Amino acid sequence: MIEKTLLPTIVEVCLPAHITARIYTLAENGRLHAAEINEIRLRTGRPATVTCEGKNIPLGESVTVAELAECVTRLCHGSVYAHGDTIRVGYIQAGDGIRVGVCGTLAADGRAVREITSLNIRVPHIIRGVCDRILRLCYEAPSIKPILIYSPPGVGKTTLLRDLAARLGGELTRRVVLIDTRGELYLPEMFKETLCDVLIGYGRAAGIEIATRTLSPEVIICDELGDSEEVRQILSAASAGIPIIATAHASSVTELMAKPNIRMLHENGIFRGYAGISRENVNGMLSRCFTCSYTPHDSAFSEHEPCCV
Amino acid sequence: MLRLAGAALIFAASLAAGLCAAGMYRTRVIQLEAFHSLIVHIGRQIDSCLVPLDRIYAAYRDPVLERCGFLAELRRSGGEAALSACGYRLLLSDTEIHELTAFFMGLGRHSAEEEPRHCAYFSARIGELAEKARGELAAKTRLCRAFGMLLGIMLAVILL
Repeated sequence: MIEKTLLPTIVEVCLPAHITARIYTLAENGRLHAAEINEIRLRTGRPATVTCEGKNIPLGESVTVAELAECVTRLCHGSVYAHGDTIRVGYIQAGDGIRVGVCGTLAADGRAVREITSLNIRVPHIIRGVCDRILRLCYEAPSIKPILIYSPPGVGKTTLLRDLAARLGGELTRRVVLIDTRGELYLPEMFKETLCDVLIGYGRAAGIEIATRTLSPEVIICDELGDSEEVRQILSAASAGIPIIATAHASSVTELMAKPNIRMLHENGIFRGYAGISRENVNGMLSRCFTCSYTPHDSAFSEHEPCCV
Repeated sequence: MLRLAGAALIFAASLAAGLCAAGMYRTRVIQLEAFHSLIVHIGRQIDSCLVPLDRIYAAYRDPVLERCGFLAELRRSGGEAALSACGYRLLLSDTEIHELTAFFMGLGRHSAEEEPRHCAYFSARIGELAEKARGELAAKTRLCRAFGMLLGIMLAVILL
């Protein structure tokens, strides 16, 4: 059921050769699993690390300023200028679902990053079938129920949402609009047989508005809800009868409801339920299987512990 | 009679070598102008629409750069690699190759504000070199032809 991927080709091509070699040496020695790498962090003059199964593993190597600049150029496919807008707000869309966090010194006028000092390359994973439990909650033929999926960062919301979108748009043949604000949800190889329309690089609010007005979707899927404009557009989409499946950062329903915008959506009855996800701890090792707890909208969430499904 | 035929042959060969040298110089000017057009095009595409390089390269057409294999290599592996792969088919001088290498080495590494300036600088440099070469073309063509002819006459006279 679970399909693992190796380090994506673009990541291997972009990394300095000694960093790639070091990762594979550690993988060969059994100190990390290449297919389980979530993040690769490069810092000029400081240790490079990989985050694997929630642990930060130092590689014992650092990168030079020139190596980091070369890495940035390659991640931008040789056209750094074409990525200026996203670099300025802290990330690069490297394609194939790879988002790279950028850290550096912003120019005084705020229009460009003058010196990039570290990169956080987030490695996407395809885990087919990981959304099974969530799918049972949100899909009851022929209707799709709107739900909000929450978890702390790094647990796997994006991986799960990607699988969910591919399943709904694929085997269940629903018209899905996927709003991929930072170019990390959409993986071409995963969506090639689906009915998904993908808005890449659009803000969530703008994406929801476009989807509602012009794309006639049966469900809108987007990552990491947050601001009040997004809430306004979601209310508008809901009034048009379009369900939304979204994610948010929170470790519990109580924490989720402490966010004013999410609270507003809850009070307007936008979501039929809230699904929290976490990774299972099997024999002391965090595994890639997700557990899911569900709180229906009509339960008094503050008084009940979520039930596991 | 045989000596006369040999002298005529030597004269024709020297004349052909002179014409060939003139043709090579003309090709060099045409190649340099083609590179200048490419740089101007890249600069405009970046300045107006921030088009990524791979898309600029894919859409660019130029018979001179196609013929020497540069464009195909450019699309496959970028400017620097294309220059070294096609070096033997390019008739450019070391200075011109050096300038083009510097252009492609820096291309795509700057911000949206800096990149058009990078292109403008190298467009001016290559433009100057092309203009100078074009200005010298007529004189050098005459020189090559005359040198070939004179060499042919000289060798023919010696043989006779």
